[in-house]
Amino acid sequence: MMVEFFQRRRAGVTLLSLLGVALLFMALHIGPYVSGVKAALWFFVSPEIVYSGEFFNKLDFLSGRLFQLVKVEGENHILRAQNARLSKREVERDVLESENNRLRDLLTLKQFVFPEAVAAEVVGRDLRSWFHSVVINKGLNDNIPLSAAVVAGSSSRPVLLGRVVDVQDESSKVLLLTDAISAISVSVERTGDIGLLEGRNGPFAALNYLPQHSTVAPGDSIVTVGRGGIFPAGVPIGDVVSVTNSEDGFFRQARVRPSVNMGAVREVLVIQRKEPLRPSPTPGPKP
Amino acid sequence: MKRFIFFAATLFLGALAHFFCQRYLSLPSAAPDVLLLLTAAHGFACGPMTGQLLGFCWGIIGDSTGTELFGVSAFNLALIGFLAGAFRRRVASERVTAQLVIGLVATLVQTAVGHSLLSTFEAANRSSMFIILLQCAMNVVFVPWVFLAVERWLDLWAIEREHV
Repeated sequence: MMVEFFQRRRAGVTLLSLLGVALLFMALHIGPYVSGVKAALWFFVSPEIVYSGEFFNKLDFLSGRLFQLVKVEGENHILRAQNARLSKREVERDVLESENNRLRDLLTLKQFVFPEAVAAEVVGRDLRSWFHSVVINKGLNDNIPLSAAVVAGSSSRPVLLGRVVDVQDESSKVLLLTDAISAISVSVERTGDIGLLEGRNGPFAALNYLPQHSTVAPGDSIVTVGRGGIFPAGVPIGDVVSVTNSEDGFFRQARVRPSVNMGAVREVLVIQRKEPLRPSPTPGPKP
Repeated sequence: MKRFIFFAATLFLGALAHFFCQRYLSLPSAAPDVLLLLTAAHGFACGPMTGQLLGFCWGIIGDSTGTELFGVSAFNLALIGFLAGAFRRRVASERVTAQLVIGLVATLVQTAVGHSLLSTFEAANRSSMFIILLQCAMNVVFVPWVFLAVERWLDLWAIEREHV
């Protein structure tokens, strides 16, 4: 009967036993037996606590590194974008600085050398070669005359670029002095020898028909003569690179490098003549 | 044998889960009492015997790691495990609302019994009302997840439920 009672009330009896043990522990918690039990339990439980603590510490370390990586990745992304913006700004600044210098040169030329000149911007180039012609954004509406001289600014000094060969309302075409059909009367600044500068469709021009006795030498500056009413006198063109004799032996000829890079010109000055160019009057029969 | 391995594994993983939650999911003055919730969940799922035995063992483990009066947690959790098992056929513990009430009641019972025991054996009352309320709130938040985890754990071991 007793056994049957315990079997039927097994859970309750077990509970009473467990609660009794717990109460015993509490009642005797400062006694040596309970302390021993506690120490023994701690002996079995402490490895789990220690190892789990180490595991959690490693987990913390890894998660910390992971968060750090994510943070660094985010910062990297921001810095890349910032770097791209700054690089773009730097390029824009360089372009603006270069443009500013060119415009300052041009302004100086316009103010002190050619007060009546019209500033223009190169808006197009000959598709075949940089040495033929360029298109500027000024035309008849800006009183650009046909055959007007066109100069570029280089270190605040004018350099002859060519002349206007075609004028429209809003634009003009400028024949560069390096074009093969360009021929300009020029002189060697040092010796005063006069010759004909002809384009060669390349970066250099040929200075022909110099007198045989000319002492022209490499490094001499070539300037405009100023005859004919198209180009003003004394405008620099370039420097002599080499000097040879002509094939027939009657003349000296030189290779001239223009002082301005034809492919890099962005702004120019069109020099307006006070009087339009007219064909020279044909001499009539004397009365 | 299977029952014994299940018992040992449950004890080990339950203690580990408790340490984990105390470390990562605790507030400055309170942490979810995972052992209490696990005891209640096992009591509802497996009956009073399993519930009270697991509760007593977890309580002893908790007591051995702490500085509180030795035996209080064992007493509390054994009682909670038994009561959960005793009420398993009267409460639909698979419903979330019932689980919330179970979490709240278990916390209150544990607090009341614990305070009584402590005041009896140590004449000390260690928790403020705010901390008790915070503890209740945290346990209520966590109780559905603990019940769900216990269900999955028992499925894994193919343990037959006693409340169904």
